[in-house]
Amino acid sequence: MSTLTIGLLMFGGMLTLMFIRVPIAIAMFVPGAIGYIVLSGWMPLLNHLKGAVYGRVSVYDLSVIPLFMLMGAFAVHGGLSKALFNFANAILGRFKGGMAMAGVLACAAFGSISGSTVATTATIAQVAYPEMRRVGYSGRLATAALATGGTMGVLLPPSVTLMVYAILTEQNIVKTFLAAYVPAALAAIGYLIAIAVTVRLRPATAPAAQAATGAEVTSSLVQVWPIVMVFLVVFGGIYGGYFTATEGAAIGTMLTFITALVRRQMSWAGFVESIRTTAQTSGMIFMIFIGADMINAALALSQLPNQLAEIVAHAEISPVVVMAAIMVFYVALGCVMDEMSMILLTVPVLFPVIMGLDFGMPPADKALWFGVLILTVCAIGMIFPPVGLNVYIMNSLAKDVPMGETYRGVVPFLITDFIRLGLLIAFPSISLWLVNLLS
Amino acid sequence: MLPDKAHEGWFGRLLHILCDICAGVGGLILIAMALLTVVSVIGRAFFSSPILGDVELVQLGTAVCVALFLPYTQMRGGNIIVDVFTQHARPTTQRAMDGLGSFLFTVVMAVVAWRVWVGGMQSLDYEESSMLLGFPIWITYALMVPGLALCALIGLYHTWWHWGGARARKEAEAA
Repeated sequence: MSTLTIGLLMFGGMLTLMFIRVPIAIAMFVPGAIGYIVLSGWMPLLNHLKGAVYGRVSVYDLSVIPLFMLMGAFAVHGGLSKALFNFANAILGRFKGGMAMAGVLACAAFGSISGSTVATTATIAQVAYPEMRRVGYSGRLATAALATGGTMGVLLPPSVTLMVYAILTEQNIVKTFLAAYVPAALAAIGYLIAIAVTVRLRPATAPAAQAATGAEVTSSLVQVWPIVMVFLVVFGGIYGGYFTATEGAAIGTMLTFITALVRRQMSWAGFVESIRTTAQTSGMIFMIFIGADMINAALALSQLPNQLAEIVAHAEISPVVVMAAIMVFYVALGCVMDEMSMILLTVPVLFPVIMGLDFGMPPADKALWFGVLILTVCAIGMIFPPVGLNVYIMNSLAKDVPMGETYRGVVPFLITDFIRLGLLIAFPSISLWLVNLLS
Repeated sequence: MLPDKAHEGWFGRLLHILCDICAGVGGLILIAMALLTVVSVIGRAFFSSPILGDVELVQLGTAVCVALFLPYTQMRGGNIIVDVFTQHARPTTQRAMDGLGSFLFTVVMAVVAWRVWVGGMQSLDYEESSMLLGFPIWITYALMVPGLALCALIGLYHTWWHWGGARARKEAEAA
């Protein structure tokens, strides 16, 4: 049996185990371990495991994941989402569909201080959804706007998915963060346009515009300034080179906690809940890390990633076509897998393929660009049928709206997503100019 | 469906308590890491004296913290499974599959816990220590083992629950 066949068998084994409800991390670990034994033997596997797990988790950069998780959890329990939504609504309320737009922007703002997409979607939706229904938004538009708005959390720093990509591909975390902002801003603009067009075509889905008074704008601004401060200190410090991402995360965690305390929103129960959420989500991510590491170690032994990279590099296909094909593959994979597992499993295999292709740019730029592209596709996967995680979250919060309604409502947003993806593929400079500007 | 706190025997309750303790200690380590880092940054910025070896401590802390979070995740059913293809399968079939998943989880975590322990003992033999503080590395390995071993125990308990614990399950479902 050739090593390549063994590599493919491992992949098949993994998919089979995944389909029969074996936890994804374990579904990656078991075929990986068996493949390792077949390729090099028992003793090498046992030797490998002696140091591999410790080596995988005792990494300084990795600490940003639980730290930014905790910061986000504190922000959730600190009542910061309501302040953000009220402020956005005070500004955008003058437009028809303004409250839906405010929901999208509140998601973007919350996603800029929270690492978890799920937390972003759920916490903004809890505040915004009842309010939108109360003033007369249709269930379809309300759930779709919030589910889609939440997907920006995948791309916006400090997104966990983004940090995992940077760590896996050994890219500079700060530069990876910077690459995400312009594409995320484009996403927000696209979603606002989608809402504007929707309410123009179907006026019944949204109530008439309701402009806020100057006093309302000022009072809501007072409520958001602590969040703005935290954001500026943490990310200003990180991008300005004053401290590392981990240090920024630590400072942000403390500042968010203090803000929540000062606003008298942080209770003991909220504190305990924050630790619990952080423990559960970090545990899930690191479990997948351990599983993905095992199968990737075995795949590396089987030479599958290298051979694949070589085949693709020599198969006279234009690099852009390869990139587009990979994106289609990701959308398909996203229908059954969660974003974190997708990144951890596929990046070690596909990254060498991309790095082996000539797009006429330096390797570091190529890595950042590829990261932005696959995260964009991951974000699409969160609202793409049949399994859009964010649609599920909205469905659990808005029980009166059937899931099919939300999927229909998501269509205009998805159209802007695919247009943006095309633009990002065609013009890498969209992702890269801010990085080059600031470094 | 996993056992909930109200419908399980003493062993399940004990595991729940142990997981909560682990997650709590892990959380405290995480907060301690954050505090240490903040103090170090302030020291560096205003008194040009950062804490010696803060990076090392965060590195070791992350490893221990992760190992302590893993059992909590498994106990809460937080490890992701793909359920689109089997959501219409009969409950007995689903239980059989979940049992298999728990069983494989048990084996993997037991092997990992064992190997990390062996790795730690080897590090002790080689007298490996961290660069700046001279902190013995084997201690970090050793501190990871309880969390990993607890994962294996939980996996065993869940395997029993899915494959064998018919009476306990019936009671839970009736309630």
